[in-house]
Amino acid sequence: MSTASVDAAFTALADPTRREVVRLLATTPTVTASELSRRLPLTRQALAKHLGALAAAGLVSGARAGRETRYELTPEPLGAVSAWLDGVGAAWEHRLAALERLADETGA
Amino acid sequence: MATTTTGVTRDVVLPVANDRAWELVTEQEHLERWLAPEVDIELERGGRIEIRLEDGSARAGTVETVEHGRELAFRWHPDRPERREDWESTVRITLEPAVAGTRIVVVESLGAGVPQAIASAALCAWGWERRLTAIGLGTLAPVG
Repeated sequence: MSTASVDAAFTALADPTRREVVRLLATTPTVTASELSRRLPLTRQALAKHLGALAAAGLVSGARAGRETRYELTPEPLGAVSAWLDGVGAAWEHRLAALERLADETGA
Repeated sequence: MATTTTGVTRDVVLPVANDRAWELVTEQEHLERWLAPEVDIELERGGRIEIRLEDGSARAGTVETVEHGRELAFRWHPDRPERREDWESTVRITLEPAVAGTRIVVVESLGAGVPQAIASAALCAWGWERRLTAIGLGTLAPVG
């Protein structure tokens, strides 16, 4: 899990519309920009742009189907985010263990 | 939903009274023995915090809350110029009475934006939350 992919995922998901798209995709196998435009108050063109940004960050992948592109969620970059959280958790475990030793040493 | 953030929670019970626990989590000489090798902190709201970690990297930020004996909170981020806001997180250290001393609870929450998508949608959908909880690592629950 590279820092770059976490960076890209964070940046792409900083936009609330893109978060909503990800949320919808989490419960739908694939979508097109047209299908999304019926569920969100945005034009097909605007949604195509958001899907493009998510694809650039590796969060979705698109495959041409006739005149449209069908997108599906690709979880790996989110896995990188969860790995980042794991790292934060491990760091605090390490720190709190050191704090506990310090408290034991120095006493009340 | 809009106010939830994703965070990591860890806690420990120290066999010391509240006063002593507060010293351990706020005074530089103690912080430099458990938080990071180098810690500079201005213990007041709006004060600077500068930290150098074991691996040599630096973090910097701002103190948000100092409630004597109860809570210390600060925002911090890697000390590098690019996309700081993406990496900023809030650390909230609270002290609670425990049977055998003082419980220290640390919650580190990710910055604005990203977390709620992760917490409420994608991770849940793939069961990562359950996986992480099962192995005792991240607590991907709404906090704060």
